[in-house]
Amino acid sequence: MNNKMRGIIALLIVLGLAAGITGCKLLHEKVVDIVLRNYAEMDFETREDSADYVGDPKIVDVAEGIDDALEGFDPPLERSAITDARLLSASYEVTWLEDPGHDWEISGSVWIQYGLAESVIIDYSEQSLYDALGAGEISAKLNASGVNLFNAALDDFRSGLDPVLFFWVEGDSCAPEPTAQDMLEFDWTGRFYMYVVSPLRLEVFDLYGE
Amino acid sequence: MVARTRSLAALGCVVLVLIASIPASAQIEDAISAYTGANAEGYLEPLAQAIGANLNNALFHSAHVPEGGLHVSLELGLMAVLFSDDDGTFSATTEMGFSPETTVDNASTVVGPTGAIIVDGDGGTAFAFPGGFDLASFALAAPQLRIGSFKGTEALIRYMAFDTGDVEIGDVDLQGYGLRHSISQYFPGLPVDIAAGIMYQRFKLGDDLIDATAFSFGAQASMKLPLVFATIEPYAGLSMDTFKMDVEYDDEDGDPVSVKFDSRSTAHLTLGLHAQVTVVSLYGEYNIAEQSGFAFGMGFGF
Repeated sequence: MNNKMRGIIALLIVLGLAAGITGCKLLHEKVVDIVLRNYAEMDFETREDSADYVGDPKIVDVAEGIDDALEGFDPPLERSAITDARLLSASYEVTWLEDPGHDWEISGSVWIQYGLAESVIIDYSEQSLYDALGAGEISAKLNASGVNLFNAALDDFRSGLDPVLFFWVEGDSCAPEPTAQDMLEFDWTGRFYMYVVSPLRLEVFDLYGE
Repeated sequence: MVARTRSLAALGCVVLVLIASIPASAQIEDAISAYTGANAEGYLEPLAQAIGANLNNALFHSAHVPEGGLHVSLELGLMAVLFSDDDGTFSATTEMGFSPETTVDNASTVVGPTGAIIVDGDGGTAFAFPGGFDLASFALAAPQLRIGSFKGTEALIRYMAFDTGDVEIGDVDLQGYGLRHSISQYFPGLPVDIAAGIMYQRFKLGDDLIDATAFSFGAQASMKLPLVFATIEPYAGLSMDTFKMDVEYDDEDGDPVSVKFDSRSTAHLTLGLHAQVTVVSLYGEYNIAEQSGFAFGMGFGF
């Protein structure tokens, strides 16, 4: 064996030692909890001559937005793999106001219906429309029983159903009181933010991974 | 020619496997899309430190720069950093109007535990912080070409570019350019070789997901020790490294989010051992810096 051959063998031994030190298994399977956030959005138009009114219901297909978002992942995430899904927060935003030359302060609630159950999900009190207009998203105060209905719909979504929620507004009071000559006219958008947690399976290179 | 083509293909495969096996850029993007602003920065912080440290490792394995003649060496360096438990978590604050605003100290970073952290809020609401990829280490492999020498000066080029097509790891682009100059040539009789050099590198992953630049300048010393059939050469280096990284991704609404990590500088001490037999060289080193790490490398040259 000449010196060159010995040298190559020595290098191979060192390489083997390096591989041994770094561990034989370099690829490790991981299951990572990915969090996906989504929101259901609905636009309301208020054209009222009374403070005490019930608005038209809006229909929200819970599955629609989340399914699209799940498919946007790479690889696409399965609905059945979701381990947790809950309502995170809600907000509203006044997008248009017919200005009569004075502000309105409104109080009322947003209702949710799922199946046969219905409940208040948002309470708003003495909200100035002047303040709200152009202020962007305003965090809404959520009611626990309404949140439970929303979360029940998310649970059913995880189970494979396509839950549909109904939302409507019930005005309670307004200052000043609207009349036929001084109507309360504004548009607003409500958003319900939710999250889902889904495992993502992948292999990663990790010299010292377990 | 066939053998040469196979060798290059094998080298390409090694590099591709190493790069393909890190969390894919699309998957990192999936994980951070739930975050904006400060949370995104905290989530990615260990990855930023690791990339910065790895880029500035394995730049040299000897301080010997010949005064003249054609010297070419094709090298492949594998640079890795080890993460501590502290790297796995960061202090994160709830977002998106969640009430009450809550800060947790155990949200996973990109290298942290895989499980999501759930925080309960008002009225049955909850907030989820995404999991990490549970990495104990982060490695990068980079081919580099060393060419010299002109008046004791050599150039180092790092280059790697992959358009991964259907493989969803994102395009990888690494370019680095450096120069080293022999100092010991001006001091005949010195028992050790001494050199000084600079290196600039730019690393991009995905569609602008990660855009990192690294700059290093420093000095190295080494001593060649003939040992029967090989040359053994302990080496050391001291440098000042600078690194900055920008991250861009789309949040869940499809809106672009840009996270800029502040430029940071760190002193960097390298201790290594290099062995050479004819045209083959092998080296291993440990690097002590803000983020310490080790590197192995192999080279073929004359």
